[in-house]
Amino acid sequence: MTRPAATKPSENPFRSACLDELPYLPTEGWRVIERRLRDARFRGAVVGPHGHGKTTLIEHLADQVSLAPAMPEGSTVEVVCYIRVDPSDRSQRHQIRRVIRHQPGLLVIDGYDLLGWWDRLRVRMRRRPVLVTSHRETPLATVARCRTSPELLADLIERLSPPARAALGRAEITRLYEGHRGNLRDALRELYDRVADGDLVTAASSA
Amino acid sequence: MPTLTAELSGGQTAFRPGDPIDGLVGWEFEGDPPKWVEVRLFWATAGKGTPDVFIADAVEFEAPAAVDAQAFRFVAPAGPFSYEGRLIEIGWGIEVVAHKTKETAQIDLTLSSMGEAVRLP
Repeated sequence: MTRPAATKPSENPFRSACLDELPYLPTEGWRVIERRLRDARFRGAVVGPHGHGKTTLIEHLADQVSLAPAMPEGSTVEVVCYIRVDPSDRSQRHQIRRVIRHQPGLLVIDGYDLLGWWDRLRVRMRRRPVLVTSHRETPLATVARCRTSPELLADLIERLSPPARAALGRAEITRLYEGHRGNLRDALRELYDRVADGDLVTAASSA
Repeated sequence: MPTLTAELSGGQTAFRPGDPIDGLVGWEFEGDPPKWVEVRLFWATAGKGTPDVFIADAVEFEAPAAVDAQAFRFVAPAGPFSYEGRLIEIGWGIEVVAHKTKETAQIDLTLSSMGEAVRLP
């Protein structure tokens, strides 16, 4: 069998720019998540392990248009402030403390469990809307638990490259999923390497 | 729907540092024209890591007519050179954008001392 040609990074269907465009595919339905958000008065957490879609989900929720159905009638979340916590960035701490205190609208913090103890307390004490992601449960109401499955991985591969999905087959996708313990981001990065090395057929390399 | 176009003199798409990059941009807007049209010389990365984009130079045409064409000139910078590797690719390009307009026009370029992207053995 002829080995397919290696694919350029800009044509690799598993390049990060393509992964970033994948939508969050909820396992429990948007209406359930929206109801929990409303019940929690927009003070909640999205919980899940690495590579399970927390950031993708919270980015979707931070979009005011997607939040609209969950809002009480006649109300709006005027401002959305999005912070991705970077523990190595010391200057970010001041910014985080300032927005926790003064940000009037919805504050979105991606990486709640990376904050220090005092800053986590400040977030919990905040009376205004706040949404966070965390690897573990928080004192805030959990509005969604991100779960993955081999079927979800297969769905995402299909969206990125139908030829790769066909070439891999169900058993190989399950092995890939289990090899990365459900971390879909790492599983898709492995597929980037396979395509880059010419070990996996994609539309670009088979053309 | 507005139309933006870009073309390079002589159809040249490979440049060495210091080379002039000459071209022509054109646009056609229905109704009121935008506040500005901008031509950008940029490089971008693609691959396994987070994508990066850097605008190396730009020319802005303020208060443009609804239908017009204008010449532009850049000088090819010293680097980074166009590169194709396993994990990352660096590509150069010319992009034409207009204020509050989704449509763009783009031309891919190669910048290197050899006239083609650097590839490591």
